Amino acid sequence: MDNNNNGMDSAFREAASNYKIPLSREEKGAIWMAIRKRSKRPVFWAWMGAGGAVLLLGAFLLYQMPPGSFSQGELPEEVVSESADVLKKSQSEQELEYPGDQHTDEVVSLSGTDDVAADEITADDIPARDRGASESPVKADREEAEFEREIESVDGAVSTADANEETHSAIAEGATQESAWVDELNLLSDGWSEFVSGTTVKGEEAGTLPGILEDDFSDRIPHSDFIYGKPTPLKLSDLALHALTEFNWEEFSSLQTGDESIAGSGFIDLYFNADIVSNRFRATSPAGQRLKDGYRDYTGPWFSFSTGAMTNLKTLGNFSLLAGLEYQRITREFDFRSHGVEFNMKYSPEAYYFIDDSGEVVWVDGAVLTAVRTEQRLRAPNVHEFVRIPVLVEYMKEYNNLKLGLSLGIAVNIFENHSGYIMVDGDQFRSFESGDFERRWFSDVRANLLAGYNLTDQWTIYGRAGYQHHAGDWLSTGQDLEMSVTVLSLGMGVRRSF
Amino acid sequence: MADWKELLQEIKNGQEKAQWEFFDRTSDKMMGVAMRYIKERSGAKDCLQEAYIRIFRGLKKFDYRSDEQLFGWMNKIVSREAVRYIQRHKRYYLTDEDLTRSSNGPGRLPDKLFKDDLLKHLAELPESHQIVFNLYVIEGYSHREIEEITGINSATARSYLFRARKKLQEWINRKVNVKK
Repeated sequence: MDNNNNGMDSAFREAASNYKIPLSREEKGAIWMAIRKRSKRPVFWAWMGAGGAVLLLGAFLLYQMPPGSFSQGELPEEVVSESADVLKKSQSEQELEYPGDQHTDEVVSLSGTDDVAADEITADDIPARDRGASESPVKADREEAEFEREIESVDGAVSTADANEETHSAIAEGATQESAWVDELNLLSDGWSEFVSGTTVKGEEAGTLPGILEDDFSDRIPHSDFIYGKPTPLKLSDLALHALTEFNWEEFSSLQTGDESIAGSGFIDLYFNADIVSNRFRATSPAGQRLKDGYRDYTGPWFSFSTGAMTNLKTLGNFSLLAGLEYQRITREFDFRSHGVEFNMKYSPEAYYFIDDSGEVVWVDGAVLTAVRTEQRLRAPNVHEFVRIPVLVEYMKEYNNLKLGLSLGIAVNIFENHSGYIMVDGDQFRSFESGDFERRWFSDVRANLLAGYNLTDQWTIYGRAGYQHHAGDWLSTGQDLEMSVTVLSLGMGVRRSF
Repeated sequence: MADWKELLQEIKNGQEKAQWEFFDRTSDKMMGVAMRYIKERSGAKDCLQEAYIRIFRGLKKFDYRSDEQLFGWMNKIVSREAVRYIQRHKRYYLTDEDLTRSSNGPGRLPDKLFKDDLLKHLAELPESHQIVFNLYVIEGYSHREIEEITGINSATARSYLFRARKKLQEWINRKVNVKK
């Protein structure tokens, strides 16, 4: 029934198919500019979202790191902290419960099914990694020397505490911390080997079962399950881990980085700058010079800014190496005009237009730019967006709660987006987009002056003044006119130290 | 002037100039579609802007076969966007009150915008009737699709369509009788 209306429906369809509402040039220009603007937005926000996520993730990870963790090598944090407690306890228990003169008297019942008679144990039964130190020639010499000392000692055994003392005295005598640390590990392992071998000798001398060898150390390492999955005898790796966790990392770190390290182990900066942008034009021909002369530029109500986050990769004394992620948006209003002829040019958020001689509004957009000659004048906002990785070397000096610093560095482009207008030869304006720009990985060189105030031990607020010299020629017009910019920036930031 | 197929290919290649040409050549017609639904010119332009964003996205995958197919597809996008616009601005009502209330009369619109009296009288119908009539008769949507687009259930839409046709038929009959 719906489709049977004596031809009425088809009459309406035909009427509708020829139905048009003419749009003026002005209306079309406005709609077109809005469409262009909207179409580009998702890409922009996708990049901004990705950048923000990276920043947040970086900040979160840095926030989670405890002080000193930057230097603790590759051991998982949980293992280090937990095993540190465990081994600290086990060491003190060993020292308390296993004085050398009690070894022969003490017979500790074996737990579980791991009972092994002392006479069944040979050197081959000791895992190679537990004996490893004594098998190398150098270690063997040291072992021999230690053994002689052991014979001379009252108890005939060298405790791990003694070994530690040896190590610390070596540091005090000026040995490098790294080699001392290696020595510390070696001595610990040697001490353990000798501890085992010494008690064996004593057990044989006493003619009794060497209880120490029968002892299952797992009951003295309550959390050894955590490390090995099941109760096991104390191994060299336990001691190595012990030494690793006992080691004074903060001291080690300060020796590496200098006692005057201001920032501690690490920091993260968040900053925002208002940017003042000026153009640099270079004409390579008379035609280019003419274009350069016709160019006017002013900032008008437009606003350029940059914002980002940085963290230190390395700190040595007052110097830090920083890297991060930065977003910069440069918005300019370009004003091209011809020689002395003024037109009433106006800009609206949707499009650009001028009033021609007859008083009619003429809208200017990408498709009708050719209609605009240099006898007229065009003002248009040009927008340049960048996402960069700045890499800076910073020198920061602290005076009580005040900090003064200088940083120098470069920035690497990972994303850029351009849109706007430029005048080209032939007295025409044309729009440009990202494709007109020569993409470079190297973006700019930059310098910043920093002045900060410590709000707390961890938080510093600072002001910054910066200069960016953008590299090379931004815009490739093919018109003998090359364009680049310099940026002066003033901003503020906060620094969170860890 | 490039034909549609060539122009669409250039758009697919990312040429902005081709996009502008496409917009320039089609926007008057699409404005006509929008204004069959939305009487305010500013509202119709807003609708057109949204619709063209969708059209340009869709053109990347559009497989051109004929002008009718292209414009049929575009008409549907614009009409859907127009209905969305009206819904956002709560411009039509789905109650029976609406059946007796006339929408913006032609007196508020410049007569020159309506090249055909048929459409002029269509604009005199209650807005919900116009929408259903436009979607069903001119755009070719089914009642089920109209329900999806507008939220007007099929039975109600059939009722609106019936009443719209009845009124338009009365007007046509009067016109024919006057001429006789």
